[in-house]
Amino acid sequence: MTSQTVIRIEKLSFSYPDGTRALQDVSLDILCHQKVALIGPNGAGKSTLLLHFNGIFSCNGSVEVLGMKLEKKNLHAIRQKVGLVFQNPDDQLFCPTVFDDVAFGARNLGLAEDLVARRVRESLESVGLAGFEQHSAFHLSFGEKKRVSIATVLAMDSEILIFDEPTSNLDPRGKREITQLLRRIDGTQIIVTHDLGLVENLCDRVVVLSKGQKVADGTVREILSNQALLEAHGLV
Amino acid sequence: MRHSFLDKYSGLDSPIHRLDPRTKILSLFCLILICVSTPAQAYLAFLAYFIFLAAAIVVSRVPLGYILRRSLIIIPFVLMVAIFIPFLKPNGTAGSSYSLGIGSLRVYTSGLIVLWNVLAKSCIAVLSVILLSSTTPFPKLLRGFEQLRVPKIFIMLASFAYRYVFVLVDEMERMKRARDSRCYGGKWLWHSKVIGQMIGTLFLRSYQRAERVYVAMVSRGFQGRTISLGRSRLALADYLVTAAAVSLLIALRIILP
Repeated sequence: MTSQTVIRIEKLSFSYPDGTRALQDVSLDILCHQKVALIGPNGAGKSTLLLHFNGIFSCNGSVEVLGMKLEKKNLHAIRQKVGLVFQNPDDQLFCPTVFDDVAFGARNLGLAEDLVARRVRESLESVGLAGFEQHSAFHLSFGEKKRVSIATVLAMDSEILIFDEPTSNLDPRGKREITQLLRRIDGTQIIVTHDLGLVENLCDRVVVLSKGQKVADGTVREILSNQALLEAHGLV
Repeated sequence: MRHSFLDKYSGLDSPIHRLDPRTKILSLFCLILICVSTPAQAYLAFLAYFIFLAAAIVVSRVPLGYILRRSLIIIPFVLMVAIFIPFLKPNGTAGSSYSLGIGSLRVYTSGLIVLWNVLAKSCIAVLSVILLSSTTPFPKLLRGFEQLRVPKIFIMLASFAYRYVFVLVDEMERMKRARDSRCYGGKWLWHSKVIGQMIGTLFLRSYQRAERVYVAMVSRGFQGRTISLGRSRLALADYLVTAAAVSLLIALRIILP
């Protein structure tokens, strides 16, 4: 079970409409229950790759999620299975109240309203924000917003969770709390980050991306002890 | 940063705050409709509407100064448009004509009545809306409108506007601070150029943010179908208050000349 591939990417290339080449021949297999860190300098293509995992960017069929090809007819099913948490909580949280935000995904799944309410309560409890349902997202602290963002995908019960910079702009305690939270959450996780402390404490595999290409892929110990590699790609 | 415009004081507790949003929407909408349909010279009727509204404001415990200050945002616009009406309606001169050298200026009675009509009606309408928004938290207000079958696309637009107006104000404040920290100063012409650039930047950033928000929505399974915000039940008191308010207003409209 643990060795089952959940995301398979083969020779993925992607260019933006203005011609900027963002990804070039990236191949990657993510296994079930792995916690994979995706690191690399700014502009390496990490966020672009991330938006391929649930089909926001369409591609030439070289991405497969849980055995489903990334095609238009599979998109809804794939987006149920893949939860994306964006870097900026003000983009992730767009509803008038915390409750509506956390419920948004669950309601899109077509769940009954009482089940939605239960999922919202449980998700907020697991990020340590029980009772915040009627708050407005704007009046939360940055750390609280980050945690509500995580709750929004927990409520969807996704199998694969993807986090874009979950610890950016947080104070050390906030970082620690997020790390512990991510560790408690089961399932496959892909984490885009610059925070090597987070990688060390949470992940079991590291993929290094640079200039749109995969330059290294290995265990945390292998990659983080390779000083030359980290320096070459501006990661230390 | 913390802002609380739009629905400041909506967190207070008063009989008005406790009413269901639908009760307030219906009663105040009824007030506006009846007020608009009243002929301009039914001065007593306008006085009665005003007393009705003032009583509601007193019961709601929202500070009067706040409501008056809020209404100042809108009334000047109305005044700006309406102030010329007395000079334009050629019917029954009030006072004498004023010679301006190039022509003479007259104030007409019927024009004055139209001005009073516009001002009185817009005042009542604006005060009603302010009372509604300052006694109902915005999310509940949206839910009320939704349950009254307002098209969902409007509800969604309003909810996005409410959510992001704070973010935009913050962004503007940050830009202003960044500008001032770099010793912003100089001539008026230079100011206007910089302000123009800031507005442009704000627009571009909002545009990009909209794209990111959309991506976040799509990632959570959004397929273009809008989703209801949940329901609330009307209490007996809500039915009674709505019925009482509506019938009182209709009675006032009929009885008063």
